[in-house]
Amino acid sequence: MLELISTNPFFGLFATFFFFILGTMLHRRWPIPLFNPLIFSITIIILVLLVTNVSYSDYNEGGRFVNFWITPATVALAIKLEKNFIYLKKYYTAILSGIVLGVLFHTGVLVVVSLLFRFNEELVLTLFPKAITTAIALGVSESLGGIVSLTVAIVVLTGVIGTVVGPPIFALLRIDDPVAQGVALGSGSHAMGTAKAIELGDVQAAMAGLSIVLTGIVVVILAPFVLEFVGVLF
Amino acid sequence: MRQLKQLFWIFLFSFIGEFLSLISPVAIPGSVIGMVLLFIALHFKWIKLVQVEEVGNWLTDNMAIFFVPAGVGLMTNFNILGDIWWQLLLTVLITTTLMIGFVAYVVQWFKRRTDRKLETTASMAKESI
Repeated sequence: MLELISTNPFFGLFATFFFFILGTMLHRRWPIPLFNPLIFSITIIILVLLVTNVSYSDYNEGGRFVNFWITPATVALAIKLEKNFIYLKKYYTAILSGIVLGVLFHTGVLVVVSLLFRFNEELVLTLFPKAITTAIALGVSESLGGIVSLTVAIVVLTGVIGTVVGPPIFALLRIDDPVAQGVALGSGSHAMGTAKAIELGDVQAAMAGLSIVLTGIVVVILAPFVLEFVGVLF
Repeated sequence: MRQLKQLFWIFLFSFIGEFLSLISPVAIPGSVIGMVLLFIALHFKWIKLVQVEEVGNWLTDNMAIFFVPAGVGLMTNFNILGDIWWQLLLTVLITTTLMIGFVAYVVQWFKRRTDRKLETTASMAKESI
C-alpha cells in the first residue's frame, strides 16, 4: 500500500512543495539558517524518507519533475544578464579578476585543508570542481579521475552552505556592492547561490548568473594544471 | 497563449543548448549553452525582452525549489561519506566561506577603483570646460 503511494509522482511533488512552502513560512517568521527553505526541505524530506523507509528513487518519481526546471530556469537567467549587461561592460576588470583570483585562491585553500585532513589525491580532485554548476563539475571530476557521485553531493552541499554563509559574510566584510555580492555568490556557490542572489536584487542575480558561466570556464581551463600540481603534492 | 509562447522560446533554447552540449567535445552543460545563446539573441534583438520576460522571471524568481530533489539525492551518498563526512563538511564550509568572502572583497575593491577613476575623469572633464 505504502509503495503504491510512494511511487506515485505526486508523492514526490507534494513532499517537495509542501516542505519548501513550510520552510518559506517558517523562515519568514524566524529568519535563522535552519529554516532556509532549501536546507529545511532537503533535511526534512531526507528524514521523512529514512523514517518511512521510502527509497530516493521512489521520491524522485515526482522529484524529477521539479529537477527538470533547473535547465529552463538557468536559460532564463539570460534575461537578467541582458538587462544588466551594462555592469559587465563597465566592470569587466573587477569581475574577471575576482573570478580568476577567486578560483586560484579557492584551490589553494582546498589544498591546505586537504593536507591537514590527509585527504588522498582522488578526494582532492573530487573536491576541486565543487564551486561550479553540477553539470560542468561532473565533467571536470570525471576527466580528472575524481569520485563523480560524491562530487555531485559536494556541489549541492556547497550551494546550500553558500546561500547560508553569503549574507553574513557580506555584513561582516562590509560588502554592500551589488556586483560584488552577485559575483561572489555565483562563483562560490553556483546556481544555488544565484537563487540567493535573486532574493538580494536584480543586479546580484544577473552577476551571479554570469559568474556561474565564467567560473565554470576558468575551472575547466585550470583543471589540467591542478591535476599536475595535486599529483606532485599528494 | 502569451505565456505558452514565452515558454516555447525558453524550451527552444534549452533544447538547442542540450543538443549542442551532447555533440560538443568539452563538458559544458546544455543549460549554460542555452543561456549564452538566449543572451546573444536578446542582445542583438533577434528576440525582444517582452517575448520571454514574464515566464522567464517567474522561473528565475522561484529557482530555489528546483534544487530540492538534487539536495535530497545527498542521501544516496551516505555510504561513501562514511567516517569522513565531518571532514568533508568542514572542508566545504571553510573553502566556500573563504571563497565567497575573498571574491566579494576583490570585486568590490577593483570596482571602487574603477568608479573613482571614472569620477576623476568626469570631474577633470568638467574643470577643463
